[in-house]
Amino acid sequence: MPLINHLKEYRARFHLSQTDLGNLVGVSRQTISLIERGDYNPSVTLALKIAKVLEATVEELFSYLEEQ
Amino acid sequence: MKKHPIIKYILILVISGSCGALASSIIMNFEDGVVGAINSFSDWFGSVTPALHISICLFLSLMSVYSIYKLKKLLNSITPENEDAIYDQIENQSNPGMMCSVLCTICNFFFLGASTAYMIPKNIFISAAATLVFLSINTWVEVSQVNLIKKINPKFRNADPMSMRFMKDWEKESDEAETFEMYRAGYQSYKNLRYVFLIAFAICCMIQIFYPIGLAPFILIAIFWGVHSLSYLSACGKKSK
Repeated sequence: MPLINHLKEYRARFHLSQTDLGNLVGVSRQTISLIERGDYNPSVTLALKIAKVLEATVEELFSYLEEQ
Repeated sequence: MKKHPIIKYILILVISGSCGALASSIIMNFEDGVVGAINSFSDWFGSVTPALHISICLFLSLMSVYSIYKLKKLLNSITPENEDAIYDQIENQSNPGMMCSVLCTICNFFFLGASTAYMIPKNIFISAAATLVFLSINTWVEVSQVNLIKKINPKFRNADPMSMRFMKDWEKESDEAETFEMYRAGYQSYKNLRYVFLIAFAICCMIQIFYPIGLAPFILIAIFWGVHSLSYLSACGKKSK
């Protein structure tokens, strides 16, 4: 998948578990887990919410790798 | 062959036609044997229906109960350090148990139907009692499974598994990723079922040649196929409005 995310690193900086982050942005723990594993690309709204909670920009959390 | 796909299709047509002709000539030569085998299988199946019902459903029920026991044990081993990993493990390991439970429900109804078809009162009574017992176990397994997921997501999951509106409530409570996963699985099942109906129709046609199974299977396949396709298309129509 060409979308790379740094969610796990940023979450660790704030000492948040997947459940905590899920509760803060209003989604389930499973959704955070799916995003971290790269199995699901979040919507723009969710990406913005996560970025706000983790005090980062969306581009810092998610980057798009151009396919060869 | 990549440059000329027509050759590939002609080859597939010739090979499958030859295989079909060979199979039908073999079956025609042994028609009495095939009919005899079907009849003796049918007699044997009628006499062992309750035994098969109890043994298969007991095995599947035990597997699903064991799976729930394992998941509960995992949930109890949670510490703040391993929380995320354990939750992932629980979510990944919950599918086989649910599959056993669903298979058990299907087998229950199949064997109950089979017992009714043979019209042996003793077998019908045993199958009905077994169905009640196994369905109760399956309901317990499914409720336990839902309660486990509710424990993992106490903030988002409140749907009551015993309620008639459970499926609707569950869908309403799902967030974007869960809804996406549900719809993806639904589309996959729609795709697979189209082939299943086609194969079921072909199998019924084949059996009908040697053994009169009547019109009922064809009517049922047509009804299920129709309901399945039309409900999907009507849901697509609603979405696009």
